Amino acid sequence: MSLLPELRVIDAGCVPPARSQSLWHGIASAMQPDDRPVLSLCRPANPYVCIGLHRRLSELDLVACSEMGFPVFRRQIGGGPVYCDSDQLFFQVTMPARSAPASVERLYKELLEPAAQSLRTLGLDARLECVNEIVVEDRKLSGTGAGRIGEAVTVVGNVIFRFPHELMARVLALPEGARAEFLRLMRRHVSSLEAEGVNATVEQAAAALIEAFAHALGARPAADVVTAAEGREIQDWEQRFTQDSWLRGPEPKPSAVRTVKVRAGVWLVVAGDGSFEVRREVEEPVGA
Amino acid sequence: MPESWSEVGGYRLRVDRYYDADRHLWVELQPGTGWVRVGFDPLGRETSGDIVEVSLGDVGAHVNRGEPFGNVEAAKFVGPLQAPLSGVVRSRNAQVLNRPGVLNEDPNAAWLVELEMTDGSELDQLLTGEDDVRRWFAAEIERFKQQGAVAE
Repeated sequence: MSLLPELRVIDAGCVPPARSQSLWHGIASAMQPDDRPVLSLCRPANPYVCIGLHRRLSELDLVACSEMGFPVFRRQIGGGPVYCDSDQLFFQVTMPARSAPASVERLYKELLEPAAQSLRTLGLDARLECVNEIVVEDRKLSGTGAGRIGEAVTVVGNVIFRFPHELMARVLALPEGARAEFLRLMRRHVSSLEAEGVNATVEQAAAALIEAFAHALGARPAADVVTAAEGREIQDWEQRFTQDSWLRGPEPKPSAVRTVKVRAGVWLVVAGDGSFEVRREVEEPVGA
Repeated sequence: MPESWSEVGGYRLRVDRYYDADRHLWVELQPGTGWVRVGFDPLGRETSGDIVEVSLGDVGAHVNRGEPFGNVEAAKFVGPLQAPLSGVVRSRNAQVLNRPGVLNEDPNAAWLVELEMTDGSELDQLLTGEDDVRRWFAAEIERFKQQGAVAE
């Protein structure tokens, strides 16, 4: 019998769009200080758009989202608007906050490195760059984020099998010239397994993630399902996602320009008159 | 009242304030009122990363000690701001809301909210007094260093 602690693995498979967010929000909300860590996995069955806690809904072209049938959800963690679909395998590591690394930088380093390792297992030369970017050379390979919800800390990311850059550009509220530039930058800087020539299945990616996270946490993976308490929290989050007050988000902030992130170190800066420029910053890799 | 400063392990901090040791927040009594200002201490700020967004609860909202009165975001990490004392939010620092970067520049000066205390006895649960504050802060620096959360 193994003496290693358990890593609960909840593989929810292909789920409705809201569930692909509520799953891990609910797991985090239900977590108690002495609970085991959880690795949850899921894929959204249909496309949707997800926006970070502090971002303005006006960053999205809601008419375009509606016309394309993409629901919009606001998540409790950070980052900008993202397009999500079934060609992305979402992974989330949730652990009691008191056993998580004490700084944000350290948290990402410890919990995203296994994700980079799993991509290497699939055949990509992936590495962690800056604070929280998983890249191959200078191309972003995974969307990431993190947050504390209740007594838990969650780090999230995705394995992108293929990515429709034009849809990502379409759901943002941008002047047409800026949108075209954003699309060009996205194609240049945001990659996928398919674009990198890696032909991996969802099952292979899931297995690589489970192995890498279990190893990193010194734990034995144990397949599990959501508990009744987690299920109740998941339902609560799905209700919250439908509330206008939640979706509306924070008050607008006065700003002469808007910055749209393409990847770490690459932004499109759009002025109120529709003019734009590309801003690049060179950052040192983590650990450098 | 003149401000009283101290340097501990390379960090400057006010030693005439109260501190919530668990949440790394400072609490400053506003003279002649039952109000306090709340802000990040320098270690709380540093371990949060470079703060880029702040959201704060509505003016008039009541929060209990330990409950969130807002959120901060750094490097796509969102963490709750947990109230060091129970009270009613009487004011939010518009400068911080409009330009969260001021928290990174000077956490000792950039207050987040003003709370009207509803239970003054909770002050007893906060750290105060120069010696105790210095001792606690020095121990926290060591703890964070051992965890790799702040630079050696």
